[in-house]
Amino acid sequence: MITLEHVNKTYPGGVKAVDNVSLTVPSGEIFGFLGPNGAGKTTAIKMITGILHPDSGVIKVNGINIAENPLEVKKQIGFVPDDPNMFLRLKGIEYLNFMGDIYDVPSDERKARISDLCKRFEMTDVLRDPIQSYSHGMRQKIVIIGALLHNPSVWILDEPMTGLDPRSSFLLKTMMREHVDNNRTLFFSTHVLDVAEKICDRIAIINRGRILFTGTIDEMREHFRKNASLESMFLELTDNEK
Amino acid sequence: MKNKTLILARVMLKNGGGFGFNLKNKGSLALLLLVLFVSLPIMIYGLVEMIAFFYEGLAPIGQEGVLLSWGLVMSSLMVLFFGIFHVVSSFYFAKDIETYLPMPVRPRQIVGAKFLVILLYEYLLISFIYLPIVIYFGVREGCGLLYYLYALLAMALLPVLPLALGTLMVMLIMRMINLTRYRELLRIIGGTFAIFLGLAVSFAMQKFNQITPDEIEELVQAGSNSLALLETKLFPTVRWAVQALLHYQIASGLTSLLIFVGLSLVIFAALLLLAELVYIKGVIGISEAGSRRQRVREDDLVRLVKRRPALAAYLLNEIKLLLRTPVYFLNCILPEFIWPVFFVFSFIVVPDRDSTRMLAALTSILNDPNTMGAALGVTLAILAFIGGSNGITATSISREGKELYIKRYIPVSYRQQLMAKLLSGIVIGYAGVVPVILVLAVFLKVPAYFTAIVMILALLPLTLTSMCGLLLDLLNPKLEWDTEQKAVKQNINVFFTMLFSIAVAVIMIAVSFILDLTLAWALIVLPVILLAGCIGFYYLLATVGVAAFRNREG
Repeated sequence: MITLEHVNKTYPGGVKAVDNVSLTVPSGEIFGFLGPNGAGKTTAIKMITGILHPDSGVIKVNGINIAENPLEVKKQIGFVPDDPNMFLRLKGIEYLNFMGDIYDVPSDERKARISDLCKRFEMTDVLRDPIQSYSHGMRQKIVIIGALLHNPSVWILDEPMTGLDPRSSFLLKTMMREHVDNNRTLFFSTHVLDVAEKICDRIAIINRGRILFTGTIDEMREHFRKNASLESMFLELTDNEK
Repeated sequence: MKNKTLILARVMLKNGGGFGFNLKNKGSLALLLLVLFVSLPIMIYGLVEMIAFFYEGLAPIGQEGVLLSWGLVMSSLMVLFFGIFHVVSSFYFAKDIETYLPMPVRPRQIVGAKFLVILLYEYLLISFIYLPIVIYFGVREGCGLLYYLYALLAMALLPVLPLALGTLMVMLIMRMINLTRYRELLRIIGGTFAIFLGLAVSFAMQKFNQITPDEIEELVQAGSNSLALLETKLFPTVRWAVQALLHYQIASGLTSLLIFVGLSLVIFAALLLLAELVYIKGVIGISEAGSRRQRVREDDLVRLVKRRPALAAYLLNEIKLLLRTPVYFLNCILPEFIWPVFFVFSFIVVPDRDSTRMLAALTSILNDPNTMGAALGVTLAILAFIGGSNGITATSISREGKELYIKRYIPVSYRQQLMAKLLSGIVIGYAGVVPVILVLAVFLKVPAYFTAIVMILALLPLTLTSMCGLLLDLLNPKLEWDTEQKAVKQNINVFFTMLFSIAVAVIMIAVSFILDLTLAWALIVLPVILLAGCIGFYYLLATVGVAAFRNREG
């Protein structure tokens, strides 16, 4: 479970990226985080993962306050950032070993996880190649494998479908469902509304740093009292804000 | 229509983000002020004292012009020496090239623009030598305004020849290398080779410049700056620049100046012409990485999966990146290993009268118990300088660039991460100085116990300078860059760390000489000073440094 209580973040220069956000991401549900470009999604995710510090407010992951015990929180999270261009000078297997060492994954478990995940994502045969030689989608896949290597209880995925081919995208969605079925936590951001509509159990919509809506898609329809698509509701909601 | 070369050069310069200085950052500003008001005056004072010393010696025999030619030749050598690192990085390893390749611009325009940008950095480099000498000369000789105008024009064009020479060598080597399959590896080797070639050339120039005492005698007799042109034999354009400055008042000065300008422009044009022919073929496929697609079977995985402690994994990752990223390799690793080669070259392979005499003097100093304390001080000073000049820790945060955020979400404490970064500097620094120590030990016939002492104590100056570099980079990292070259080549922290290491070197030498330490005392006093410095910096890193890392939000 992830909880944010009255979280604020203002960037130097005065832009308020996250404005008094309170949010609970329960375990056992796929939780989608929606918003237009520059709405504050990535800023919020960066604060949950410890990359940024909130100006005020409390963030807890599985009941642990990240400000008080950052390393404990970081160990529980598997984070896939929105940009997969990282560790390009390493070979695939070197990157996975690095992540395994950093997250303290025992050898046997590591081998089994690498073998399984690489097979599912069809990455086994490129493990000995430098990540630099990978396509965008392959880079995204190796980052996902690295993030899930330590079998984290909380997945935080920032735009995870970008660049994935249909097969890998389907696989990731299946894995996301498996993850929450084990009563674990999954928080992911997207601006592809179709994806959100199809796989999310619960969504939050953020714009200009403020949460406009939290609930299930059905609740949202009720809120708008019409049987519209998520897209039209989303546009109406974020447009009113302007 | 605007000149595309100039348009490109402007964009490259703007995109470069300067030297990593952010005046809004308090730490940055404080460092800048510290350098401007403390280090720089000391340096300039030392330089002017030295120039005055030479001038006073030369003027009575009518040879003060030697000072000018010495200044110009030294500047040219510096441009060749440092420029070649810059050329390799900027022309062949910078990612921005791929942005320009699809644009409708000619190869000569890309090369011309990159050349102009490097030229600007070379001005900064030579201004420390060129300006003090030329101004001192002008003031003492009571030269008129025209002299200073000539001098300014000469400075603008002076780096053209040596830089073009370096670019030429690099372009030809890279063109040959790009024909083969293993491009990236060979590029690193080619870059390394080009750098060594550049060093060898600048080195050979100095050697061939030497003449016999008889010849000098003759020229001295002739008076009226007859010696001045002697130094300039191997940089043909420099000769005309010196002539122009010496005779600025008469027509022949103007003629020399025009010849100098003309020659420089011709050389620049020739370079562009050559660039048109070979540059693109040498640079194409710059970021291609080889892929083998080897099948990985279950039993391969058993071998490939290795578990290490987090600190070791982090350290290994740092070292791998330094070795595998060509720009980092050429700028941070290679210079470390040039020193022993340089030493062997200048003293042993091509010995001359001076170096043989010097070698003998050094050997006796290092074997005389009365001077061994001072010798230890000097050795530690040299090691501090070498350790402080590699820039590994001084760019270790900057090199993270936009990926710094990764280091903020992984579950490794900031203190431990800093420890790994510090260790990477010490490990590579140590690997670099061990050959120097061994080479010196063999050729200077140093007693084995002295060598052993130095081997152990070497860790102290290396640790101290690495700590200083890391702290500086934590306080003022250059994270906004689009090509790795900018993280290490245009990073003021490297320069500051070098200044610090020079200060450490001065302290080592001063203490051992002023206190006239015996070896036994030197073994106590010098390590205690270094250790105290290390403890101080450790405290700063653990407090200010860790806090800076924690609060560096990208």
